[in-house]
Amino acid sequence: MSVSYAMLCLALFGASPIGAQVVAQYDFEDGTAMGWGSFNGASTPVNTTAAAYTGTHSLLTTTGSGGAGGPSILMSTLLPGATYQITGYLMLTSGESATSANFTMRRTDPGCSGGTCYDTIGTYQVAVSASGWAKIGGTYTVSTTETGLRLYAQLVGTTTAQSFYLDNVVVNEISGPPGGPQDNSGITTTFEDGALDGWTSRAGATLTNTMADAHGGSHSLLSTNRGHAYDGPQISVNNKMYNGSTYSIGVWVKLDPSATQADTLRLSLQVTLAGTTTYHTVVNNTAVPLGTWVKLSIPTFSMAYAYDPGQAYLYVESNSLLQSFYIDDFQVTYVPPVQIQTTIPSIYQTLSYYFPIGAAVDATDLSGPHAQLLTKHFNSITSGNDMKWSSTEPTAGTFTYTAADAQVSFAQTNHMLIRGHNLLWASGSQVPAWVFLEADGVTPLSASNIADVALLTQRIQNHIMNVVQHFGSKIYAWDVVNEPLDPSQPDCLSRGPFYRVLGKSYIDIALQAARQYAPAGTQLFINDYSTTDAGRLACLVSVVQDLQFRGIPIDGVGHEMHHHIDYPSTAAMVNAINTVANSLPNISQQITEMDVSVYRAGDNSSNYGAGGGTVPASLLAEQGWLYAQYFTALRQLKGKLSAVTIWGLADDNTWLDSFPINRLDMPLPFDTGLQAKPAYWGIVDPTQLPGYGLAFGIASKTGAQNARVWTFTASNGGAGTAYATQINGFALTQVSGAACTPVVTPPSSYPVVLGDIASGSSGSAAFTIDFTGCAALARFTLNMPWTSATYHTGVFALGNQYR
Amino acid sequence: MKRITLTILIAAAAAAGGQAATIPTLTLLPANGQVAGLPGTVVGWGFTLTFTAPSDWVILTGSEFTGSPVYGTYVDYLSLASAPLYVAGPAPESSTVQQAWDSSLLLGVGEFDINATALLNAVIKGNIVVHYSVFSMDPNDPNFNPDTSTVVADATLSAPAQVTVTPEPSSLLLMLSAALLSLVLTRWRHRMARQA
Repeated sequence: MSVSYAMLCLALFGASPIGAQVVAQYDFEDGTAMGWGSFNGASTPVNTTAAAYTGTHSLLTTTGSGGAGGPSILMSTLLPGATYQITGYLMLTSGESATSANFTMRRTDPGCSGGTCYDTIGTYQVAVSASGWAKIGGTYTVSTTETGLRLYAQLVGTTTAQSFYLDNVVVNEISGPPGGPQDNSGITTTFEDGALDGWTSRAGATLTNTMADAHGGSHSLLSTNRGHAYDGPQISVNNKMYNGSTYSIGVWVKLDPSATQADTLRLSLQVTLAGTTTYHTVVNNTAVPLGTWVKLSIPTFSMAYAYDPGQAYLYVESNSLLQSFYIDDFQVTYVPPVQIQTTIPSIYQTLSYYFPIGAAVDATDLSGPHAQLLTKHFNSITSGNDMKWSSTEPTAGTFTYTAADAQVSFAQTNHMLIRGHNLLWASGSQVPAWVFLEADGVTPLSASNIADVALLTQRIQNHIMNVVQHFGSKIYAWDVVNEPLDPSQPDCLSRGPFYRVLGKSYIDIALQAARQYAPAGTQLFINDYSTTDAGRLACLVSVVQDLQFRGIPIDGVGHEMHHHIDYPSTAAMVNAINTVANSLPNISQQITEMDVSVYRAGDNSSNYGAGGGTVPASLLAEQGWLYAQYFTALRQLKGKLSAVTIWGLADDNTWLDSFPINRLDMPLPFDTGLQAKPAYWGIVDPTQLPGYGLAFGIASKTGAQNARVWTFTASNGGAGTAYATQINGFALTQVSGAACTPVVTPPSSYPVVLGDIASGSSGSAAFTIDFTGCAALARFTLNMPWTSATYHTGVFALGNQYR
Repeated sequence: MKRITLTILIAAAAAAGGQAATIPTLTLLPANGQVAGLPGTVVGWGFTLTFTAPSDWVILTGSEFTGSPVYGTYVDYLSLASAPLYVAGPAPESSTVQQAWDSSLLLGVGEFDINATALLNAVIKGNIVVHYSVFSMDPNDPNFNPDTSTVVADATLSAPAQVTVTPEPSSLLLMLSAALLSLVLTRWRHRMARQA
């Protein structure tokens, strides 16, 4: 081995055990805390250049006054059963007395006493001082039953506040979970070789390679003589599906002609770990009619199960019947880990001149690539569900904030604003049932019972007091009352469970309690949907004016703005903001829950995801242009909006996948792989949208005066397809010469469809014009309105046109 | 200042016309295409059109701006009904026609209306694309017949253009004042230090 090769090997492998792979590394050289937050009373860690083990940056933290606590970070990517080497370097700040330190893993685990264990990593009490860096840490094997891990560095033995630096924290996987090395080559079985392709019988069913039917090619696999619903074909996925990885899985199924009725089939997973076998649904029950191939598929299945070597199987089973069925074209494809795009512009930085830009979040957004996406593009968060009554006070007087606290901590660590959502939902949604029952837990509260009125009043006040005081000044604005409006009611207020007991005073009670108990300066909002509709908008103004007239505290209104691809118009959105600004000049306004469904308003049945499909690229382009219209308009509303929040980060986690029905929707700026969609570019830079740069021209004017043919071209010099391009009209206005009336005959009725024009291509349309009676010197202006992707609009206008 | 001449994009159109056309040149005014204005104001471009073909004439018919629309709106003057007939070519016309930008009379290539809320210091880069037609007879000749003298029905020229959104004068004044104050303080400190 040459010296250089040896040095290369040393460089590559010297720092880590052979076979190890770095799964996390924190050198703090980017100038941030890299997701580290405060733990157990310590100060919020800050990036510093005062000291560094390598490079120029490290992390500075001061313990709590009793010496407890330190910097911490969630370790959500560690795999159950795998073993890691976790190391870092620690040094006390100048002047601090020498003490000792170590890494500890706080493990949430049902196997721990009280549900939580604290695992020391490596040597306990490593000596540390201010005179040099000390290495802490060691190997750590993740429990197979853990449900949450948080790594923190702590000083041991000190009883006063001490400050210390942390640097070069590295997490290496040195051995994976039981089961052997990961194989990402996937599995494909088409049965075209006449064999079983690795499939075996689960419980005695007969498996036969057959040419009686096939989805693709001429062969498939037939399962007959099934003794149980779970009996049928199974295939080992040992090492092909690995704990912690993601896979795309699909298989086509069809009932055998002997079947007498439609059936329900699903794809399941069986794993055995430490002798215990468990079963998991991969593709939900799917209706399989007689005589039809149906695909059981899931685009991204997160494998979250460890297993003993050789003990993992996928299998097709029925819900209850034992009918024979075929399978064909089975495929398991490894989906590489998601990586966000780091070089595209940040949404919040792009819009920082106009308003903060927020996102609704949940626990899955606080680590990994979702957290990276969140911190890169947003500077405000709203907890999607974890601050609602059912989450914070599920039972009377018992308050739980674990999930919300994690989000607040994350936001604080990353210097983000936090909106509170919500204290009281008028419809009673996500409000526990006990809130509306008497103390017996059975009798509904009644407006006619004065004790019930007092009880609900007290419950609202107590809930709001506890919640707003818990979060304190960390939250700058609260949606105190959510969705109170109903334009069909004479007083504009919905008849929800709070209203039914307290009348409209429930809003007063909530707002007054919030004002009384929240820190001074906290902004109090009511929040509602469809405020672009005239009736609802009028009600919003009316209700707020009434509150103001009666001296009830209110600072702002939230427009949710859950939009559809065809509704509402940008003009309606602008009108809503301007109407409130003009009618309620002292009221702050925010867009609080924006998204744009790819389905038309009122379409509660379509599903682009059916049969393994997806949303057409043309529709995503249309959505991008609509986002561009919205955000161009929102920029012009600067000063009238104090924030805009989008209801989610990316299409892999949107409430619209289950509302109004279960279906694939893609309403957000980033796709399921966290990559920028046209919607993102519409917000940030419309010049990057598909079809931008579409240019119209006249290719030729030919023919006689009474049948002059003008041929128009639409050339797409942009980067993406100009979808659904069409000419919507054609007008010639005479500007010179003796008056005449040209007669225009378009190639078809309007709109004249040019269709999808690919990048670098063009479309054309020939208009015939009868200029009889028009002098040679007559001149005209041409106006030809066009649209592309519905919301990409323009007018091709030319002056001084001779015939 | 180096003059930037419009890029020529007429090859296809000329080919369609069946004969080689002399190429017009059009220079924006200002020549570098760069204009600046406050939020809520209007900026624009004039032009100089030159066409040296011995027996052809060119007219301007329209224009577009390809920059981002998020900070303002482009208004084309050349396609307006009120647009003059700009003709460049052999006598009796002139081979060069110049038009300064005049927002009150809507003269020039066009204007860019900067939104009142446009991001300060935003730089909107794009191209001005100008449409033109070429004829083998002077359009001002009483015997002109477009049916027989159209050489190029429609072709385009393109040149870089840029709009910069400048801060309000009060903001500039504030920044200048701060700089001046800082300078005075620095000198005062130096003087005090020398005296000490």
